Amino acid sequence: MGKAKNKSLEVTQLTHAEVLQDYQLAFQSRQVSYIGRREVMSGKAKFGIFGDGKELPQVAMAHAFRKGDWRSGYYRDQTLMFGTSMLTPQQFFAQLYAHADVLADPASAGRTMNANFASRSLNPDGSRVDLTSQCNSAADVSPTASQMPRAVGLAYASKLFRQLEELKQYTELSKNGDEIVFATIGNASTAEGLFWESINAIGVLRCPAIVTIYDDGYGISVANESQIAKENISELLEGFRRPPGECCDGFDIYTVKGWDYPGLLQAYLQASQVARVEHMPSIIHVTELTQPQGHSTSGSHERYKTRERLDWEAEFDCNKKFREWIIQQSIASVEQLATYEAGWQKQVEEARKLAWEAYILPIEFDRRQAAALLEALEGSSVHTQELNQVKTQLTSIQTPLRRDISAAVHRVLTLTRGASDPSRQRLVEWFSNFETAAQERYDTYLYDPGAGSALNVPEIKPVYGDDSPLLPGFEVLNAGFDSLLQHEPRLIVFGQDVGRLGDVNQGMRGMQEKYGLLRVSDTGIREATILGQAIGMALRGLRPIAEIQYLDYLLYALQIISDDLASLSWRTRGGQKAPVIVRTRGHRLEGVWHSGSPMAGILNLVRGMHVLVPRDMTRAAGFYNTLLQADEPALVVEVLNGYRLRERLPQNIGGFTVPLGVPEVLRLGTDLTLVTYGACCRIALEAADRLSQAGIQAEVIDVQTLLPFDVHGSILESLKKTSRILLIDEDVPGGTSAYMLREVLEVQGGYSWLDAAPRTLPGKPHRPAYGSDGDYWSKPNAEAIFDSVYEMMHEADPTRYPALY
Amino acid sequence: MPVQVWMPQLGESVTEGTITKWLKAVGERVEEFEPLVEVNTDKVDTEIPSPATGTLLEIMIPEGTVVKTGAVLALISGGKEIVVPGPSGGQSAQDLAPAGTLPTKQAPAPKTITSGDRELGFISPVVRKIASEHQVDLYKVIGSGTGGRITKQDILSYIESHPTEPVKSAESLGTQPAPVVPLPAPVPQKTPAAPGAVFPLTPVRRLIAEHMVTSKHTSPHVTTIMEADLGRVISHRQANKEAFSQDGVNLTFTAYFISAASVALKAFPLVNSSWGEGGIVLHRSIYIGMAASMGEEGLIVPVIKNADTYSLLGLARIINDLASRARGHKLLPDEVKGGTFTITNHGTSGSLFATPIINQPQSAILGVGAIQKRPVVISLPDQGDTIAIRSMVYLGLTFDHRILDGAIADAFLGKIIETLQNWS
Repeated sequence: MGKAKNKSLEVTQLTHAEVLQDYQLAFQSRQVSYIGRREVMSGKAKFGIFGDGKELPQVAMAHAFRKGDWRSGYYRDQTLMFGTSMLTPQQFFAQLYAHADVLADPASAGRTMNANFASRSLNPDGSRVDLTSQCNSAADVSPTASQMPRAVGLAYASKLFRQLEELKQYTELSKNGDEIVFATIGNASTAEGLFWESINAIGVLRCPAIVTIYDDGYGISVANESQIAKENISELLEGFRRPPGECCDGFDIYTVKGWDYPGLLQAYLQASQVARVEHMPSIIHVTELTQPQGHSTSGSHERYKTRERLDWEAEFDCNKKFREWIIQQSIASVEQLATYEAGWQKQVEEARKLAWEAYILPIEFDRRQAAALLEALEGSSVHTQELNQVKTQLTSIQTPLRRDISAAVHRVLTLTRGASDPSRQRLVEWFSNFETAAQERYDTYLYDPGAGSALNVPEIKPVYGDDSPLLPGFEVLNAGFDSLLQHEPRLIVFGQDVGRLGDVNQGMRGMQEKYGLLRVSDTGIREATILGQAIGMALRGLRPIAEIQYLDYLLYALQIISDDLASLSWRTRGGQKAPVIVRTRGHRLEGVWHSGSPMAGILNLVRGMHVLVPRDMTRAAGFYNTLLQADEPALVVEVLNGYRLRERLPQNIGGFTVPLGVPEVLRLGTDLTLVTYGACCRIALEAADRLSQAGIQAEVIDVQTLLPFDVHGSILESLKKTSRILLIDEDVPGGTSAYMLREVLEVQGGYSWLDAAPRTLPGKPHRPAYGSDGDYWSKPNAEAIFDSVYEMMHEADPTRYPALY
Repeated sequence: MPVQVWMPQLGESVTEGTITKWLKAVGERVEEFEPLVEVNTDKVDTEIPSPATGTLLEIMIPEGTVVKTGAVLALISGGKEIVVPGPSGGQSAQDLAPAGTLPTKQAPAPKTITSGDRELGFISPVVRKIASEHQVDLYKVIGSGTGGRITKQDILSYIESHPTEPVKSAESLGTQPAPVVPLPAPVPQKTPAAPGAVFPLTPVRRLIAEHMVTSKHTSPHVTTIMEADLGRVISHRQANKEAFSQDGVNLTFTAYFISAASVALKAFPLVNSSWGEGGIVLHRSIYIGMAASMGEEGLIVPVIKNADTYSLLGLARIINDLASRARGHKLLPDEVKGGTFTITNHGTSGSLFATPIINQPQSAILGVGAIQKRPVVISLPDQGDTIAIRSMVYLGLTFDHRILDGAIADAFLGKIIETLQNWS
């Protein structure tokens, strides 16, 4: 804490009018915060979190922010959003009220909590807007520091756009890589590993990011002494500082007081020039910030801050200091400012009012319709009194929610069940439409519903000639990547050992040499930011394939995949997309951390992505071809023990596609359906051979993709024939085998075709043990599959299939 | 609301019966308590009265199918809603010996449709679906799976071999039910079948066949034959016939044989027994079944309970009553159950002696041949040996050699002869 230094107006190079505009921005943003909290406290909104006390650095940042630039920030950034015209106060309030309409809340259409900001990168038809002609903000996520990994990729994309000739054609994505990224984070979140990993990655990649750390001394109630060593993040970051006079490595680090308007302007001006011209990153540590209303509406900071601290915060409030500076610099008088402020306040209140009316009127309309229908039914029903009571209750709710309407109508329909009254029928129809609209509001855009959908890519079968060579699987894959890199300039591949080595299994062998250090590159051991790197690049229109070396290490990145990548389309209601392809390899090989197949854990956290489990490298290559024709995120799990198995190289290696959600019948049978995927396919086929010798014909189906799952119901068709089903995989009991079972029995309606209890044969609940014997007894083997099938056949026909044991 | 017609519990421990004949067609009017449907249980035919006045809306169970008690047989429209109570607890009289007529154990007999599937075991979803689509009575399908479970293959094979399975006449529940052509009753086939034709098995024939085979497989049968001079019985009958007749009772020879058998059973309790896993079960009471022919429709064995407690008049009266009701298909289900010994009078059709099959789980059955006047050698105290004309009858006792040795069986049969010959 210190005393305000009085830098003069000249430093800022701004006119009086410009300064007053800045003050208006800061003032109105503060009013938004005040009014927002009031709205929550009066019950019109559920929760509120605001950017009060952090207006001034954002005012300065907004000056540096240009069209084409990107923000990757968190929930304190309303002032920056207003200042860059990415958000209006009315839109801010709409999100506060959870107005489920994309026109009212363009960031999330009421799907996320307030202050989760986003610009819209996509037109309503799913096509990309010209990203260089607007200010951009990646869609926020609430887990703090999770905005950092994607900032790596957003910034790195500028480097690629500037340095790769083949990307120059994409002028609607970048203007020569001039775009810079403004990342923001709170002081307490710098204690997260994601922060340090991201800072390191940005430093290693040398890309144009400006990382702002808003430091108000606290993380909710926990002060810096419990958050950060030495209580000073910029001191800790000293090692990242770029040495003076050298141009290459590290960050420029600025420490600026949060109430120092000229100082902040200067820092951002300088940092942005360095970023744009030199493509080098900066860290701006903004100290002495405050939080006038506390962390959020769920708490009062008076409970954990000392009186002394509260008094200091009142004194050093950045807006107050800014106001004093304006007066001191004779830009405006106290009286003038008071007049302006009154007008500005009125504007904010007006915006709130408009947001509220826009939010509540459609709900009122729904309520009125429902009430009218209830009234019509009231007269003809024997339950007149009860109906009247329900209607009265509904109409007397002061600020109704749609769920109140739903509950009331449901109650009435329950009361009048069995009655064949036309009024009731009208109510039923209305209720059905009401429900459909609700689903549309909340349950759409998990996947791309339009042209970008991977499900729309037509199948092109692999073509083989007499001379198609039989190659080790990795060479098939290698040929596929070669073709893709050649034909898709936006395809950028990276990961540990991917560049120089050509990946640990040689699928990328020779690709870096052929396509250069930027198209095919190595990364450090940093899975979360490998993903973040991919997300940021994909947000900017590139087509990254991010490699996670082993499936077992995906867990490091799973939080980012789940929180950020998988939910992106849904949480922006189709406003943004990041078609990241995560390439990894898994299933059985050796030992605990090189043979995992925790597919259910993964697929249940990544809804919103496709999860593909090719059984061999040809299928994998076909999936990459399919995915690159689509525009959706996906995870591809290659079979770890399949790279050296020989496969025939399709003549159309770069052109054939494997459709998503279409299982393949690997072996026809009549007695029982074996459903599996990945490495288990070979084992299931081996078991089917032996079963055949015992007179049992098992049909073997490779599901090929877990998300989506068998979209045409072909497993059901098999079950209709066999009436017996065994689902096999290497996951834990109750894992993906149970998921598949639900799909077949419940979603596809397989239940009524069963003639035997459906069974699963998963791996053991423990991690796979080391060695071939450890694998054998940890995961399904051919003998175990044989026995499971045989037991089912024995149950059906004990004479023909006498007990084995 | 339509009234449901339930399959009542026809007697103690009865769990199922065969629908033999619908007495009303769908669309026909029926009065409350008017006979609606004929049902056949183990060996009894009975009529189920309508529970309500109204129109027969739907027949759920076609003729010839076996149903569980408690199953809904039909729906009757409107009227007073008098619902025949559903299945009650179904207490079985433990003090009664194991059943006395031909059926003894509840036979795992030919099965047909049902309302519950407890005895069918688990019916898998696909089997249920196929059964419903093809209107298959699952009780008719033999299960080959573990525990006799009916598998998909079983029902598909069944359908393949029964292409013309009768389809349930489930017509609409509308106010004007469509006229329904009554299905041909599968049971009493009066017209003689052409040579080579398959004569359909009636439920009774099926049951008889099963019981006969079971009995022969269960007990080692041995038959011992003795003859009795019925001179004193005939004299006694001549003397009392008129008096009995005045009481409305037709004094038949059967009464004498049953009476004599009762005396012998009291003297040789081991004969009044059953083979059981834990040992030979001696029955406290003497329940004697008497086989009565129903002509082409088979045979029925009404049971005289506590036969040893009746006078000859009492026995004769009971015999008259049971025999006449047997011919008229009017026996109550309980009246054909619980026998501990059986007498069959094969002599009525001219047979001299026969080796009848034991009515399981009894230990023996007495076959009574035709009464014939024959020249026999008799010894008179004063005249020595001489040839005389006597009314003679051969009595054959078929016994379970597991329970009875030949000597005891002979002694038992001898006791009957002695009683008859010394009748007073």
